[in-house]
Amino acid sequence: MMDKWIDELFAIGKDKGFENQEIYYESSNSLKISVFEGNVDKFNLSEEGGLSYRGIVNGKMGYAFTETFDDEAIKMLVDEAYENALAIESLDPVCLHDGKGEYIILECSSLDNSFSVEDKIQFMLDLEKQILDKDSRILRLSNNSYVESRYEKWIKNTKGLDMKENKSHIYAYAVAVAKEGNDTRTGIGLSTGDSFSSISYPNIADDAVNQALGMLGAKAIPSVKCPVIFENKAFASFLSQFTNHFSAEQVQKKLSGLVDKLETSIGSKYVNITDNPHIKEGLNSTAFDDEGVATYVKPLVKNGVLKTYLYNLQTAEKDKVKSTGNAAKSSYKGSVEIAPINFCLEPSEISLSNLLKQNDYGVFITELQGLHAGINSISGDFSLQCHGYLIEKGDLTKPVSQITVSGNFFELLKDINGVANDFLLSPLTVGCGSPSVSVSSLSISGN
Amino acid sequence: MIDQRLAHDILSAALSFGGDFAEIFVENRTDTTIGMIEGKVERSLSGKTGGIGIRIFNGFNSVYTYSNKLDRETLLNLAQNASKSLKGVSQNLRIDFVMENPGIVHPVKVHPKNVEKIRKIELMKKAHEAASSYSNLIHQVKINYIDSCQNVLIANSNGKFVQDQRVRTRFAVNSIASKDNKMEYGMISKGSGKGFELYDEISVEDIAREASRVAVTMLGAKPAPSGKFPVVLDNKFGGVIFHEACGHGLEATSVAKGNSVYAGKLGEKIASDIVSAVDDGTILNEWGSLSFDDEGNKPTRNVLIENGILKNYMVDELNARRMKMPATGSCRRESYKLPPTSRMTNTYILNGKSSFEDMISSIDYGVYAKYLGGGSVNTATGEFNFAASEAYLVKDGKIQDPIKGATLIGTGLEVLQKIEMVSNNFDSGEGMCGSVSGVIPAGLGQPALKVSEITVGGKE
Repeated sequence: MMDKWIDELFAIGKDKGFENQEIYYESSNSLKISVFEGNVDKFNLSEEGGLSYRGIVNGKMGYAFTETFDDEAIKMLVDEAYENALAIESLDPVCLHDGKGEYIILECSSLDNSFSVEDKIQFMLDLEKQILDKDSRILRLSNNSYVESRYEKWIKNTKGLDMKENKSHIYAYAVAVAKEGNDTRTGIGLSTGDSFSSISYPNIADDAVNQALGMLGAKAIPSVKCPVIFENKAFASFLSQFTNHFSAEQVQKKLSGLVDKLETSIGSKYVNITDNPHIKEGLNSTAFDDEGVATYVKPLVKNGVLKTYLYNLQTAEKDKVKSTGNAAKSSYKGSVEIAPINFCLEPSEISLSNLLKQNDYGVFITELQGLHAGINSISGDFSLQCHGYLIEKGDLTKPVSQITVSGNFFELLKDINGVANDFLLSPLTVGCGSPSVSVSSLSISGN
Repeated sequence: MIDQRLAHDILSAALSFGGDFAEIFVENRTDTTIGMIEGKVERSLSGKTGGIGIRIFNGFNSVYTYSNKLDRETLLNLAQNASKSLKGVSQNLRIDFVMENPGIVHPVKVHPKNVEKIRKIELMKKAHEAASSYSNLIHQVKINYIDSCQNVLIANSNGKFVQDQRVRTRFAVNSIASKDNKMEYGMISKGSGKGFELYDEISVEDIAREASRVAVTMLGAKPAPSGKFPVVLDNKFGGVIFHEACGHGLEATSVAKGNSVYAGKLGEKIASDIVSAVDDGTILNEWGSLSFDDEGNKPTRNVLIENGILKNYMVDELNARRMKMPATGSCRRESYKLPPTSRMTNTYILNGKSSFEDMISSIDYGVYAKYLGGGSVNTATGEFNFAASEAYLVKDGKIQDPIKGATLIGTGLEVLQKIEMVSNNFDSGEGMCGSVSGVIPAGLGQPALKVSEITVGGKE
């Protein structure tokens, strides 16, 4: 049915004067279950789809989007996109992909239908009970969900491109609340897998409970400049805030801190960054980008040296290079921009405990807060609320909170003096993967 | 959108296998976004979205489902399937809808859809010109124009049947200054629940010049100090301190289940005597104002704190059941794709009696934060943070050099007690607030206030 509707859309678009046209269609359905005190608290079912239409007229690209697929929507899309194209003043080249290239086929985990909704509800009820039974200081779960979703992406254009991809995700998480005296702390546990049966609630429960209990009694420390080790998930979410500097668009507009830095050293020898679109556990993993260009694994930084920027078709045309398959749309409502697919800082062979052992005094950060606020995305300066543990003589001794860590991202890359072997890419790390990372010196503010 | 008969049938289907209350939320929405860089329009996006959300209560628990297909068969199936997941008994429902028509509560004089794109672009060009000519240190100027119109219909099994239209306009200028390979930015925006007439009342050039002034100022800023200091937070966006340190913790979303440090503290003193705060969704054409909230209730002027005493929470209908308190007309959601919950509308600290000058002159060594950026909070622990986007050192009672990289952190209960002076220069600002029911426009505001001590996350 959609095929016919799209043919009609392209026909009417052509009559309007569009030389070439493209649709980007996303559809998904999902189930989300949350429990509270032995009952199903929230049960959410959703099914949705949305479409982005774009077309080229007079050398300009016009966009429009819709969530309905009737005749009226066709007229709206064509008219709005036409008007939007006329408004464009930028002289940047516009391009659509013709579908050439070598596409890999990503193994798609299919959701297993042998488990009922009741099984999944029972899983969450058991998870809640197990967390509460672990320790008398655990009061309740402040948040928890079982989530499964199926997702389809489809890009088709009038230059011959026609690509579809299906994906599915399953994960469950819980946030435990621990209280001792007047001190309240939270901890999160998450498990993700190919199928319902591969999700493990002992892992979720252990992580959530250990994190919450471990932070009880946390206090600020006096302000100090000292070595800082970021736990894998904390550093991955930190990295996710700076990937825009690798975008060729930001570089071309001179808004990136990496302008003119190709083939120069931007970090220490421990900095090896790869964009890996095919990694199995990546929620973002895909065989083709949001312009339909085939994706591939590529090093961005090797032994501290910057190897490439990330390109879509338009920025590649401007720099006379090939697209790196990094065209990205935030959703069908957005325009094509640039983003890494899975931005991975590569691990080493050293264990986290050996990395910690190298420090006489320092701070081990397990979580950063307010990433959207405490980072200056232009200058790279950051000042972030965080918590974790004090490192004394190589061991984690006391929990620490109510402190901030401050520095500059570009200086930090040069000050990385070790990475561990505990690489993690999870739904909590926002499209970035990282091992735990040691930085020789950062400013900690506290008392 | 949909008629009363279909609404009735969907609600009946939603309670056909269990549940004690059902609600539908129908939405259609248009958005226009125009982006300009280097004085040229680079991005122009528009489109229509919409669908229906169906919510069923069963005691304290809820089921939510949504779809963007609006045909009768799809909707009745959807409602019935949602009801089945409750495994209860059918309610024999007879609903007599009462159509509530408030008239126009927040009138829009010039609907943005009736304004040609070229006029919107003209505004952007004026702003570009003003921002880029402010100083030769200005290296790039990004301008965003946004307008949206959301039409909603809310009907429930208690007979409520209401419609509302929410028009929002927003204009943002981001100036980037550069010198000696260093870059800093200044971002200023104005948002409103008015239509295009907003631009007869404000000057986009003023916004643009202010953004450039901040960018150039920050280029000369030194790293902020580290440690605990007295801090003066200026009016308007300074209100983010209350939004993070207290506002989120007063939402029933976290209070009802005890996940807030403010749970169980009604009637207790939680802030210093000079602090009074309200959440007010009734203010004419304000950024977070509504004619009806997303449960179809009328917004209120909800006094949260009076002279330091906790007076009320922000409560939605579902949490009202658990809390045994009335709903406060501030239940909100981003779209039909998310179930609504208690959120802030326009949240303000009210004027006090001190003067701005007295606050500054009372500080030997501390920080003055003129503009604040965003922040976040963990309501269970009360730990919050927010970032200063333009700040200065204060020494011997005088404002000195600009400082950068200052994130301020603390815990809500502690910082509210440490508000030592509240001035009389109230003004409001407009933010986008993200939480469980999505990203929504939220108004914030305060007069300048002084906190006796707060941790400043600097480098020196």
